[in-house]
Amino acid sequence: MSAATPSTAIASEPTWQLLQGVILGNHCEPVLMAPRTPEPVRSAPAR
Amino acid sequence: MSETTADWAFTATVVSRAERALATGDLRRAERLLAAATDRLPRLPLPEQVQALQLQAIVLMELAEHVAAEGVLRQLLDLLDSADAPIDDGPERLTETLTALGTVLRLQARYQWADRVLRDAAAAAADPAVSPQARLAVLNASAVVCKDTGSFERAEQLYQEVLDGFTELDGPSCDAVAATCHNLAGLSHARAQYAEAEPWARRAVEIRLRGHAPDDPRVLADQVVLAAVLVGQGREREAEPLYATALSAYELHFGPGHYEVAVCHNGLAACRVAADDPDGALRHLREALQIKRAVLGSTHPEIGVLLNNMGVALRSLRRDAEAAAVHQEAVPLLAAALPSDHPTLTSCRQNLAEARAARRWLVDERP
Repeated sequence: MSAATPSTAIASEPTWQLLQGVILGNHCEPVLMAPRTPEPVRSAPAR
Repeated sequence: MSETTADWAFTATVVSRAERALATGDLRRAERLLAAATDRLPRLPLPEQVQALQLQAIVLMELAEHVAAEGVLRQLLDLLDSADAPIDDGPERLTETLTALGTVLRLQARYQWADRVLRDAAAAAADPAVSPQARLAVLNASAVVCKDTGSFERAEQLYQEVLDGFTELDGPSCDAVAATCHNLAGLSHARAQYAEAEPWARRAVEIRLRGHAPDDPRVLADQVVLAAVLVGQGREREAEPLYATALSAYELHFGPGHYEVAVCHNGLAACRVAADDPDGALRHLREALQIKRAVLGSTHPEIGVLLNNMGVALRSLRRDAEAAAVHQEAVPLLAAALPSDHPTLTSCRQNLAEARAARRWLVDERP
């Protein structure tokens, strides 16, 4: 092997093929809503 | 063999092994090998250094180690900027590196920086030597930032351009089209348009299954989006097995502390709340919180989402004071990263108001 032309042969798969996997995806997750609280029913004050 | 040549040969062997480890899904081994090669990298010719660092950045991004990935990508930018030794495919590499950097900044919720870097990526992509795929990847990364920050219409325009572009370039069944369908499902989900999201999610799964095994992380990611869309439509019974399968496969593939595992725990928590099992939901949410705090830090808006969901589970248990406390903790985390009218922030504020009202009501009704 010549020092001037080393044969490193790194990454045979095109980098784009690898990169697109990590760049293209994104996530979506549930954001929960609590059930609405019913308004408290108050009885009228006793006279 | 001279010392320099031996160094090159050693580093090349290590990096090739790392590449094989990545191809077989052994990300930790790939990470260890590349970290071991780091010291010797400066002795390699520039194109090989760039390629090895890109590989390292990909591995770190797959492991969701965003801060470490950012460091490697910045190192790459410095190399590509060194004007004394330009490389042949420099514009392509620069575009890819800036797109990846914009993505890791977005994943850390550093949206303004992500936007700035992606503008630089778009400028780099204007070079005629840059491939159309790399140019479309810039648009896609920008679209995700728009989606995350609530600019839904802009996100939709960009995704449509990306979808048309990849369909024309690589055909309607390529991985990039599947990923764009996945992202369009995510956009409709963010807009709470769950019925519109479902066909996109199903199309993504269908395309991926043509080219990948059912336990491939790309297939799992699409199924997790489909599950979230089903939860949005109140179809938690259909969603729960999808989350459970993905959780087991991700744990096997990446280990139990990976970000994707936390995403599945959060989804399973939503299913448990719907099944009137708030204790089960809280167990999943605690797992998700532990993982996401370790991966993203304690102030990331996704921690706010988990706290919000925890508040809803606590409300189901009538633990209204604790629910109000976690909602109160969640709101500033979301408000710091999202615009004031973002649906997630609005939901969390409404949940906080409801929890406070319920707590007050209980106090008022005490004898």
